[in-house]
Amino acid sequence: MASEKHGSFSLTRCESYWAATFSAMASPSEILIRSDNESEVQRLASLAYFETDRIESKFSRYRDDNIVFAINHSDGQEISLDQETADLLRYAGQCYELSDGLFDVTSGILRKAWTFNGGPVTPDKNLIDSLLPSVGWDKIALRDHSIVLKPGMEIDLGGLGKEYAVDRVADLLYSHAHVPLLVNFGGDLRAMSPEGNKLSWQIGIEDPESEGTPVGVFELRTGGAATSGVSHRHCWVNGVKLGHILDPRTGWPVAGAPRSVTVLARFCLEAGLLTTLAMLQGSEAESFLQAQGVTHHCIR
Amino acid sequence: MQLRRAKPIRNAVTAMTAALLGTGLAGAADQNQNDFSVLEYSEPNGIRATEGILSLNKQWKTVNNFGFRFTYDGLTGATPNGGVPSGRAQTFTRPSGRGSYTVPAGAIPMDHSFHDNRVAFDLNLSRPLGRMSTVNAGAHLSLEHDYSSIGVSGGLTRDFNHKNTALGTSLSYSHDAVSPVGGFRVPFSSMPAPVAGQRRGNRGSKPKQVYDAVLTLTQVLDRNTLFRLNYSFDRSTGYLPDPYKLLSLVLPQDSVNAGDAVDYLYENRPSTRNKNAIYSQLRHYMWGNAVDVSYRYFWDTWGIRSHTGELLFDWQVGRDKSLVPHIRWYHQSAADFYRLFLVQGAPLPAYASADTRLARFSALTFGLEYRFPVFSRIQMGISGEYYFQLIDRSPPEAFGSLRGLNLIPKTDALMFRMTFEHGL
Repeated sequence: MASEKHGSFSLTRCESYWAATFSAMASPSEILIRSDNESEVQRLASLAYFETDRIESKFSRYRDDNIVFAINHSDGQEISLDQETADLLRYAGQCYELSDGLFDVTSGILRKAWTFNGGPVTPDKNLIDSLLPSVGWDKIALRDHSIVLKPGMEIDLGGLGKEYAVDRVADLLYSHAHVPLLVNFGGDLRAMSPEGNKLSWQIGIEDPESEGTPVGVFELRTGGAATSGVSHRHCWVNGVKLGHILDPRTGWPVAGAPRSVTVLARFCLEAGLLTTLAMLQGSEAESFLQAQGVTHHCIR
Repeated sequence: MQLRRAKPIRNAVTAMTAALLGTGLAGAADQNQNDFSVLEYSEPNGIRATEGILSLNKQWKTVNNFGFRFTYDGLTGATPNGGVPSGRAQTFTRPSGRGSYTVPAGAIPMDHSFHDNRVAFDLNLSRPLGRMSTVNAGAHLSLEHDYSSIGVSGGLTRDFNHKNTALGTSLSYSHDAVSPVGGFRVPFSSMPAPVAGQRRGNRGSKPKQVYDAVLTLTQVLDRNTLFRLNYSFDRSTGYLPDPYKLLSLVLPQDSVNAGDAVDYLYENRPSTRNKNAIYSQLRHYMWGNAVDVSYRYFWDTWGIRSHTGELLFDWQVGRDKSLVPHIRWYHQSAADFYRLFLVQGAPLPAYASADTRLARFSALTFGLEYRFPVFSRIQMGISGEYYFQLIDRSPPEAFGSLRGLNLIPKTDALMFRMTFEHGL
């Protein structure tokens, strides 16, 4: 195994594939490429790094120079949107409607009322009640190429951005080289492969509470997969363990959610949305996923 | 509550995700595409043509597009000279004026010396204008040994209604120069006897101007259906005849050798032609496949009316592989001044041409294309087409020795094309 550092990413030759790794989207990111052409692999890794960086810079809520910052500090003013942002926000609106309001990119501000550090907390009911009027996608006016938020509202594309980046990067790389490849941003995956190529990637599902111990394995040749887990980010309220996924309608974490949900679908974004929606169903997560007819794996 | 929780939403999620990832390309990395194609066209009894096209498309800063296309056409073979067959052998002077060729009795006069090469260059630039519009500008140059054309074009497209509607308009102008081999012919003058050793006539050039305007409406009807409507207007002025086409001057019906040619006169056409066309197209996608139906109606000031109907299937037979069969039907009426021949002693019309492209005819085309990936990043297409004309080859106006003869050549053609698309 030879590892080489190329500026912002490092490239490692493994037995039958190359691995490009870099840090992005607040998680370890890797691109696995089955190709014998080293210069092609370098070019793909570089494309992947820059495209990931572009999407993260554009949609991260931890920056003060991007469109998300502009929207969240618009104070009721209309903000112009580029095509990509408008498309992604329209998608967020579709997610809201399809989930009857369970998936809501405006629910991020509810985090102000909660601390998920694994310890016991006493919820501030007044704070939650004061935040709830600023939550609700239906209060947003999204037009063709502009958006208006009520003052005090915020959007957070964190629930879509990483999966979106995975799909975008996978599509981009595959449009440049028809070789088997896997994009993996912290467990959110998308695999691409030419028709007729039987090789698939072995993906291990970890137990969220004991890292490095696979509790399940699935094979991915093409398509997306996403995992949502509550292990590290939880709190205790009156002896009940609550995961970090908040119900935007109540402002409270969802009780009874599985510790981890993994879904396989055509796209990573699709898989990610289904894992989030499953978590939001709490104890009904499994029956929700069964009704969708998707391959899934829940850990309780 | 239970019912809502079990609501199946998966198909909707897949569809909307595919739509997001498939359409929101703005902001993605620059895409370049280069295409190369070779076409072999052959009429069993007529023209053979080879065409090569190289097109380069470069995108920069994701929104600006630059396109360059080079085209080469090589044509050889036989082309009808306009004359009708005769009961005896006929001798014609070559277009250059040097030498002659003889056509046997009963045969349609064909000039076998036809040979031409054409090179063309096209440049196109497009970029967004504001958020909703795209502007484009282009230039064009094409050169043949007896014809040249230089032109410019410009256009504007604007999106409306959540990008579900697009309206486009484009204008173009081209200045052409015709410089026939052997010089210009005076309309209705007789074909001269061949001259040995030297060129006949002074080879000057005459201009032709073409103005063209197109209006386009594209409407997304639903997630899977696209409708397109075009109107185009095209005005040509200047020198419009085919300098090499003749008309047989035949003996009248009441003479002894009725129908026999006594002379061959050069054709004449009006110096303006206005063309109009309305084109409508409906494309529907289902399960990755597409059905495409289109209809075009054309009319011009020369009296030609034509209808074109086409049906195409784009059938996915595997990832990145598709089979595309199509069928096209075409019918046109004759130009007002189309004549099979001229009759001696009858008054000369103002305009006359025996060019069979101006005759009344129908045509059918069957085609099949297979598209598949080769290597990485190259998409290849192989297609074949068969075209044949349905035309009355011995029309009722034939008389005397012309009766019962095939006066119009049978036209059918085979086309074979290979394309390579390379995305970078």
